[in-house]
Amino acid sequence: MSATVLVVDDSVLVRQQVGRALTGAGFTIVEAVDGTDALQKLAANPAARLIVCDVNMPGMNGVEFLERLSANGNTLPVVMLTTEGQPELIQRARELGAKGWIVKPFKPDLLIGAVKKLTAAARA
Amino acid sequence: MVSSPHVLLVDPNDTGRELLAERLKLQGFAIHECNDGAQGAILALEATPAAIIADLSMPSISGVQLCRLLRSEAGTSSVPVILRGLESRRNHFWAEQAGAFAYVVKGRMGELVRALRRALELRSLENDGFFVVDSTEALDVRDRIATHLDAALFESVIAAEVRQLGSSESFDRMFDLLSQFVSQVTTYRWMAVLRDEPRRLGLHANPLTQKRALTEALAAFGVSDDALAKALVEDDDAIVDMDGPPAVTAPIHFGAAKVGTLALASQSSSHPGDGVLVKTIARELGGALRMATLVEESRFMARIDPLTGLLNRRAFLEWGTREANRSARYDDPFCVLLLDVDHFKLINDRRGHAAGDAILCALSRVLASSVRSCDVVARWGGEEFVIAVPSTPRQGAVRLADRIREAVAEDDIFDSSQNRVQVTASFGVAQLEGGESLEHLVDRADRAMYAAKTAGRNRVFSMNDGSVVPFVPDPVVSPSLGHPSNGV
Repeated sequence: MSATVLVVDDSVLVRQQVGRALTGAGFTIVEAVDGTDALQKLAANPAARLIVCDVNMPGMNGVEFLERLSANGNTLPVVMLTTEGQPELIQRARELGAKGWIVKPFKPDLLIGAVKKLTAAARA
Repeated sequence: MVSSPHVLLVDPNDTGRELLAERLKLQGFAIHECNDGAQGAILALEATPAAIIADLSMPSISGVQLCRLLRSEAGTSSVPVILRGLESRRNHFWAEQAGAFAYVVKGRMGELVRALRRALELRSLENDGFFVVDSTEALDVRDRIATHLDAALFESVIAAEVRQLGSSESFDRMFDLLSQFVSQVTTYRWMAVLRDEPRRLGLHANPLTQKRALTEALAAFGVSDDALAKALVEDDDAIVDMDGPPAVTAPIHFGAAKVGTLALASQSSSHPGDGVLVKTIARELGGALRMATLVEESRFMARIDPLTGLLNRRAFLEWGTREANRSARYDDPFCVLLLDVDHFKLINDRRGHAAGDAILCALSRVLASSVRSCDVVARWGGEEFVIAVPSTPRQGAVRLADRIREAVAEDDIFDSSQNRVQVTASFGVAQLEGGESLEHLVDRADRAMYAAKTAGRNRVFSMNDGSVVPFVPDPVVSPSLGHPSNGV
């Protein structure tokens, strides 16, 4: 069974890196370049089970994206993947329902571990 | 990575720690032990504990340092830390400063267990499974402590610098020094301070982008540009690029009262520390802002006659001396008019001092509205007023004096009981001579004024080559001739 993960990041390098790690672990990847694109990709891919999302992006940033998701009653787990580490931002993401915060550059094992755990919890 | 429910016990004393661990395990807690502060920090960062119990004094890093470090790390910022040590008010204070959940005196087992239960309850309420992973930073705790101490030092340096602005004696000077300092610490598109009372805006930006910076600053403060006093510091070295995140603002307090607001527009989101910086500066700026405002106010009060709101004698001499010297240097005529209210003693005696004061106020308004904008009116003392008339020769000053004399005599002046009072004044005029001081010039105007009094009051006399001469109006045909004003 291959769960679909939406990867939102304006950097093509990060999308490739995350994509490689997660496809290697058996996940299917859908990519989006910012929050606006991510909302469209979500609508087009109802099979998505989890979102990995950057914070600093042009257009709609990761926190604004979370705000939109939370306003839309989103139930998909979201993991933030970002270079930011400010406690205020992390707290804000947590309030908006994010499940975790991973600071870039990341160790692939940790990301895969977190994604597996969250998609399994969502299925249960 | 994900919080486990264990409690981390950090204590360098092996016997004491083992004993405590056993007793806590008997109470049903899962305990991980560690004998060193730095090691404890590493363990906590690797596997987030549900709570930490640490000794206040430990050899490598103290409990206070451990606590502050964990507070500042994203992954452990909400892990409650219970510090233990000897009974001392100082220890309580430092534990609280460091953000410890509780400080428990050693040997009070019941108190420790209760604190730990409370901590774990709180933790379970907060625990929604949210995790933070930060594998980028090397787990070298000493590096982290160094970074953390750098941040603390940074904060205290900023606090000290900002507090020094208290000696800057005016808002504009204070803001100028503040912008010089902050532009060394970070790069920004613009920085602004809005003082609430009296309202004044300080803005630091590049002149090329100042207009847009002003618009953004007004929006950030939520104020309009109407009649807003401003101190605009232009800086050619400042950032020209106006693209960046919206401004960060922080209120400036002095005691419990808000005295202003600080706003800073970062150049880009690459300065995540600007939020902390703005808060730190705003926290320290209240005293400096209040002090500068008080000095400004007292300077102003020292120059103003409290009854009439005109300049006082001291301020007039200060300003007039500069102006007279300037006129002498450029060979520009400079005159003073000295006037004294006629029969003022009688007015005071008959109507009382309140009426006298009301009349002086009304008269000062007539004077201020009768002169040109370059002339300066001041209260010389008692019922005497002085007017400096730059760039005007004696004949012109005399005509001006006579116009003012007429205005005073014709104006409806009311006393404090709203009774109309006929007020007249006698005028003396003198023109500055080479090498003469302002005081001497006023003395000569006073002699002319005395002659006007002697000659029957309500008239203008002037000094002409050492002799006193009366003003005789030009024989012009009045346009109102034949149309008596009382007929209108």
